[in-house]
Amino acid sequence: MKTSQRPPWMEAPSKAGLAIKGVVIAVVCLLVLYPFVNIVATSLAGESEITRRGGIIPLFPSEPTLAAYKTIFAGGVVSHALLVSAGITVIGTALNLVVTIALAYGLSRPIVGGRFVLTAVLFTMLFGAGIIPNFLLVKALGLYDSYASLIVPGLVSAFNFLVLRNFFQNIPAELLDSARIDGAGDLAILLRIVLPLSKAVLAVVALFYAVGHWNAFFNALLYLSDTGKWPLPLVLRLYVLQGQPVGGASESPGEAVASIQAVQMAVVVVALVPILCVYPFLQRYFTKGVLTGAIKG
Amino acid sequence: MTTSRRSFLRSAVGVAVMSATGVPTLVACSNGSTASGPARASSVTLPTYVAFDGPKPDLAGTADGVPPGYLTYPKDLVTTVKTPPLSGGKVSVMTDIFDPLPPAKDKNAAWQAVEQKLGGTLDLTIVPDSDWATKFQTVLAANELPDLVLLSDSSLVNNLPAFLSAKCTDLTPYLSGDKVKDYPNLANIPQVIWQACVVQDKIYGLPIPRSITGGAGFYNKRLFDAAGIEYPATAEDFLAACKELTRPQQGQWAIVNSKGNTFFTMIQQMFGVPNGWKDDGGKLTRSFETPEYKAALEFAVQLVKAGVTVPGSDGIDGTARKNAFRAGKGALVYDGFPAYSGYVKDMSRLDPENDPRAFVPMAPKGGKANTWSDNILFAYTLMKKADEPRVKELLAVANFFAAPFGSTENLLLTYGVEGVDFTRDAKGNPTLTSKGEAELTVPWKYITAPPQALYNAQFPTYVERAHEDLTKLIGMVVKDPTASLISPTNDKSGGDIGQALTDVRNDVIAGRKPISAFEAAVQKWAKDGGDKIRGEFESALSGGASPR
Repeated sequence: MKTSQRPPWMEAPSKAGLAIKGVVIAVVCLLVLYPFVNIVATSLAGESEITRRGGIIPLFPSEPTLAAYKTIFAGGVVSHALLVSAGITVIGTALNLVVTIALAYGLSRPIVGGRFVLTAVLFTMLFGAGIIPNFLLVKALGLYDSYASLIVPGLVSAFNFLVLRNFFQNIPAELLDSARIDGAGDLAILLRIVLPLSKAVLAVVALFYAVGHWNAFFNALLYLSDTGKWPLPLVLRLYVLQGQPVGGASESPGEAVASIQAVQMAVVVVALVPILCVYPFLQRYFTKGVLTGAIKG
Repeated sequence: MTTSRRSFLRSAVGVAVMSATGVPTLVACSNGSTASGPARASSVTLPTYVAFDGPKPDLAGTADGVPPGYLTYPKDLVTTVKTPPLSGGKVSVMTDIFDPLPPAKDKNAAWQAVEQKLGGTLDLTIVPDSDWATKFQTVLAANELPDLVLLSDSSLVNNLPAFLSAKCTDLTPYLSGDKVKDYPNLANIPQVIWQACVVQDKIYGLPIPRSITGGAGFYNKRLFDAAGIEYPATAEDFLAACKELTRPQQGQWAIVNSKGNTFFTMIQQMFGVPNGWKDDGGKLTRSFETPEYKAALEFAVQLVKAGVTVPGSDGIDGTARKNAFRAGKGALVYDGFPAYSGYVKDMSRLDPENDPRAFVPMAPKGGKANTWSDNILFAYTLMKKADEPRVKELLAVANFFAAPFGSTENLLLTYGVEGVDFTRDAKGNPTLTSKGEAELTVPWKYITAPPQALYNAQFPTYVERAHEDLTKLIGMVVKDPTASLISPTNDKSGGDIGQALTDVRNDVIAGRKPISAFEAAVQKWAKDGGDKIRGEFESALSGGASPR
């Protein structure tokens, strides 16, 4: 850390101070990382080691094996669910963005009936309909047991809408007026001026939506009866929560057998990795985007 | 964990459930009408038992529920369903799953073969057991019941008798007495199991049978042999054996405990504590009010004090408990009898010398040990109200899934399609392929099921032992006299006041409180609703309607 970044009235940090900060940060990092290391190590451990060491492998398994991952991906159910989840996340997030942007942009400008629509959207934030009315609605709309039931009911999140609308409201009106003088219509203004200026907040909203879709579990549980349509979280839950031995009726002697804990931990890894891969790319927008939407009211 | 979540949901969703299904809950609550009452066995004629005339078992079963045992897979299989139950139609079923999800129907050869035999479409809604309460109550409240639905936990419905009569088919006219003979696989289910499917003198459930008793736990004979100990004959010998088996310097103790003091179940059965309630000529005594319970509690305290339980194991969960027993940290563990074959397989893999056996409780000198009939059924399946031809069709479907061990249908339901899902070894025993392992987790064993049979090609000695053990355990079994009775107060607050008592008991076992604290807690239990529950059960037992 260079002194140029600190204000002139502050003293240079003492060596002891730096050391203490360093230690504290290192300890916090270890505390956060250690469970992850546990998870990965356990997912790679063999049955006998897990039984011997009482369930969790702290750092390194003595005989690493991929048996747990092989178990999960055998049969093609998990890989299929992975595809379903990826599809729902991509398509769902795209649709979420289109609808939310359109609504937020429309309501960020004074228009007739805007107040009413705004109140209607905010109302859903305060009062939810509840599980059963939602179920009946989905059924009545003919969405039951279709992928659309995972996307349509949550097409607009009131919170994300508010973040976007606040951001749009803060784009200077003069900018939009000058575009209008140059002959741009509303669509052109939205696409060519407003959206390019809103990349940060869009990235954040997209991430919120995408993580929501990726973790989609409850709606899938209620609305999907065909297991071939199940997204990843629902399929993986069967491994994590129920702790049943997997298959194993016919393993040949000597072949590594995945223990329940190893499978559970492998499941956590499988569910985490895709989000972990996306997150670093969006992270730089993250704080910026949320704060701009929130502070400039 | 499950219980608390379920009871939470019950309060949140339960009211909505009943009002949406049109059951007059409030009316039934307020005017003290006879919406519910006893489910006495006396006035319903249970389905006649007609044993399956299939391949001869190596070890015979009994009508009490001791399952037949097969040392090798039978060759002369019998086809029990000659004509497909459906004629091109569809049957919708919602049931539980504990296994990983099977591949979808279009990629699942076993599923397709089952549909072919059924002669129609099997439209299965598979629900993870951990989420059963949510899904079940939503479907119920929305009045979207499928043709057949599992009732995995009757406490999920607020007023069970009213719900059953409003929404479900009363199967009595179709199954009672000799009528069941139209469905030979259902007739092969012993009456002791059908008894558990009766509510309000009517048969509503299609059973998924289990081994009658959940047993009293397991012991590892290898550790007994290594310590040079014979199987103890009395509780006093048991205590001495536990001390002998405890060798902390070798990382070995006598008993693996787990959260909630699960080992105490073994001790209660050793001391002959009643199964829930004791019926003394119409007067009921709760198990923990008996002198047997007090003796068992004192014995458990003595064991813990002697340091024979694995240190810290009173806080571990079920998986950790299994691991500790498998790894030989403890020589005895309480676990349900169905876990037996799993222990045999897993433990022989870890150490071929391991020898897990069922624990048969031994009494203290002059006492009488027992076991409890706590595993008669997994659960039963309900049928949505339907017209007569449809009911018969659905019963024929249930009959198909109840095809017993030794039938071609059972081979298909357990092992799938030969050549795809399973192959046969030299002796003709079917062995699942890896494709079969994935495909056969379709949970049709939770629609209806045949009575259990013991078969294990990999460990034939397990079959002999389990048969011998179950014969002993079922011979000692005592029933819960309130098993098919309803007490509204028990439904409402029995869990809470029972938990308060269990907490005190656990403190006593851990040595945090004296035994006198437990006696005070029992009196508090009686005052807080225990006596009311007793009264309701007693009046239900004597044939009067319970006040709901």
